[in-house]
Amino acid sequence: MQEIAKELLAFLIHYFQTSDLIVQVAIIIAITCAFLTFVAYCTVFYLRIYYARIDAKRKNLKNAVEELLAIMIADEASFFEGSEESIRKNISAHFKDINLGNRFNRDTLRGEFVLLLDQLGGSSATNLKKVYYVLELHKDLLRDIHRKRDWKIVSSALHDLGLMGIQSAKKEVNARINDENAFIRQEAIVAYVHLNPEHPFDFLDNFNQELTEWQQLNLFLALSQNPFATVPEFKRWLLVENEYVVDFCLKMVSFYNQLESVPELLHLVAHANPEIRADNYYAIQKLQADDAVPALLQVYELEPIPLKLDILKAFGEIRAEETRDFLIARMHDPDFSLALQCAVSISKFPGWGQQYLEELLPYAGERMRKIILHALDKRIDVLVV
Amino acid sequence: MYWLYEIINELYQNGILYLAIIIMSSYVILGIYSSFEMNTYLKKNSYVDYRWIMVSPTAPPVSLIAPAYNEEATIVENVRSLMSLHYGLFEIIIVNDGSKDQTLQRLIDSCNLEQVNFAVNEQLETKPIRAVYKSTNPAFAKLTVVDKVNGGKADALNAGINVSSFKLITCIDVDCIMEKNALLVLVKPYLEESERVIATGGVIRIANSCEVEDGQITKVHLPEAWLPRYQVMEYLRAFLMGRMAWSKLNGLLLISGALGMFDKEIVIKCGGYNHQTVGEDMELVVRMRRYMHEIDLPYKVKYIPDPLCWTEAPSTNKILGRQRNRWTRGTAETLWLHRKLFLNPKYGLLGILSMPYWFLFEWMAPIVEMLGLLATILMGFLGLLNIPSTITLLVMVYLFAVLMSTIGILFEELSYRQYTSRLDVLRLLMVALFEPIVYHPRVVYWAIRGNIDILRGKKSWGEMTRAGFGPTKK
Repeated sequence: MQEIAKELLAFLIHYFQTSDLIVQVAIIIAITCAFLTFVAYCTVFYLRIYYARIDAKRKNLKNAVEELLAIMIADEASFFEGSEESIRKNISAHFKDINLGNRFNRDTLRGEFVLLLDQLGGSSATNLKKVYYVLELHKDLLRDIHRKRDWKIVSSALHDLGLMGIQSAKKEVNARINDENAFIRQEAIVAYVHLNPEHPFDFLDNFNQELTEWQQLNLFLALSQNPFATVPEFKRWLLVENEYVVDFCLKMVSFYNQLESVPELLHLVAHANPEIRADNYYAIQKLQADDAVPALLQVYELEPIPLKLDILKAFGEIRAEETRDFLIARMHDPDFSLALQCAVSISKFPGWGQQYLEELLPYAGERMRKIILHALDKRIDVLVV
Repeated sequence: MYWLYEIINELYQNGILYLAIIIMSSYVILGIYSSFEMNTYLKKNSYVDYRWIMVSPTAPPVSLIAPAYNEEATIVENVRSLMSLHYGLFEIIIVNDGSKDQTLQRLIDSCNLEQVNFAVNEQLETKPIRAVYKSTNPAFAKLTVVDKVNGGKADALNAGINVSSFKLITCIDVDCIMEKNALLVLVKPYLEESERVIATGGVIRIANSCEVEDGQITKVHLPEAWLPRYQVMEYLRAFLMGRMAWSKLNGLLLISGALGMFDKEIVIKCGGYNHQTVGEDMELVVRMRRYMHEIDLPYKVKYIPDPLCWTEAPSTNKILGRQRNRWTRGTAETLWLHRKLFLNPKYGLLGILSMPYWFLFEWMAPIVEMLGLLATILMGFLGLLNIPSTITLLVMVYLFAVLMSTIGILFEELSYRQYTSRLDVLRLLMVALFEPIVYHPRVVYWAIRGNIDILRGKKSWGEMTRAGFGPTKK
């Protein structure tokens, strides 16, 4: 075999040396590809073994931790009552068999705590956070924030610190509220809400960055999932310069039915940004703010079709008498969607709405007939937006 | 005459080598871009709980549109599966595209449907709609069924768009298995990007031989038959190494017709799906991108590497051949329809890079390969072929193809590891060795046939017979 291999190698070298440049280049590329394929094959096999080992280690640790935590949470009296010092001793003693000096173990524990926190509420969740703090699992994260530049590590650290309510992380969190990196910024603002339950949105006073819908969603969840958080009056930020903040607060005003925000909503009817105006119209609709009707009637014709639809939907919810003639007139709008929405809004008026449409039906042309029948059919539009 | 032989041989060898280097370089560059994009995606979503979107009142509502044609065997099960998707507010619109079987009646009976007075806003022209149905059972409140005259998939999708209520539409193949969180994952780019996202798509995986229970994939297996296995290899390369790169460059031209989420406003302004082409999915995305360039608005088309949808891959050469024939015709039709974009700087990366790439490496590549093969044969006959050099070049091309496939498998191992069985991974590595020799020539052949059919004016889809996902493996 060795002889054959030597001869083969000699032949290949001779072939390479006597070939044209093109063939030499092809041989080099071929050998490189073969080598890299071999490396890729080996990597695939190695990864299989590596992940299997890691998963097994993690599973064992998770099982052990779950048992320990279940005992602690079930027997709160033994572990969480008494002096601060005795609580610390009890918790540390309970975890003595787990090597907390190992970073892998601590990382696994942190992940397990975050998962468990999702399933717990009330005092159990509070106790879980206490255990996390006593075991000093937050210290790695505080170090990571200082030392690491990788946004994933920093944002992940902020995420966990906020979720676990680590008050000593406040300074780091505050420093990153306006971070240019969107992921770090997101976790910082969410952590702020977690760590400041009495004034969870004070950071909006100085917030000067973009707030995407995803970030807004995370902020909302941080607020709604924290039973200790105080829901602020979002009207405080409805007229700030940062349009992203205005947009977020409009959504919150709608969700929390903050009727006291109506004067600010009236002000926003004239906002330059159509997306803000759209959310504003939705807020007006949701709050059934009839004070806004005259303003909406004024701006209607100036709006593009999608925003006109939002105004018409608002009229359907507010059901103010002063919109009656307006809606009737616009049932003949050349745009089908506007005409249809007018009819649907009219059908929501108690008393005269349905009656008017039914009376109009026999005299309606084909287009109007379709619109009226749709508006009168309560089996349609059962999904409420 | 020796000088002539030398020139021809030089041209032939140079041609192969330089072309091979250009193609290889493009794959390597795409592979590198893909790896960065995958890495970023996996990092930023490592601790995202998509249920957050589900419970948020600010999450945008979605219209799910599924055309159905002669699906009586599975339509009820498919609809039930769609009803159980995890999302807050969404509606399901099944468009019965003039089925000749009992598709509609099965739906009416199982979902307690009755005809309603739905006024359809005909923003997109379609074949006539016969009736719109809603259910009397609150459990099916999300469901709307549209019965229309047969007009093809594109026409059915347009009808669904006309009936849809919400600003985001998701167009799917009704017989695909969607992951429960597919809508949650697809909608996220719309929420997190600063620029307007007009389309998102996810990875389509092959469900052949996978275990299916209650309309969901419970365990993933590599297909037992070799033909679907080759397609798994193709899909891994195309999705994980190709489309991720194009998504990062914002040059993606194709969102799969099996699963794509779109901004309805832009779809309507572009005129909806084009039923004059068999590649309506690609053509729509190109037209939407073109439109955004022409009105000079920034936008993105995003691709998601998560496996969101499972489909049955053709398991016979006949059916697979029809599919590839159609894909080639669709690509050619789209490139021709939008030829104005080609190398046109007004359309940015779309015109300068994406269109030329698709023209050269997706459409022309099989033609060039065929011409190369013919040239080789001709030169062999004429005694002009330098056999050792030719073999060396072919070996180079083969080893590169194997390398790309192996890296595709590596990407899968580093990301989703869907194939938990070590044997399946080993089989996949074997597939990588055989694919360039056994499978790829067939793909080239079908692509050539597709191009011939274009010249002959063929427009039809061809019948795509599916075996169904089969009984659950135990």
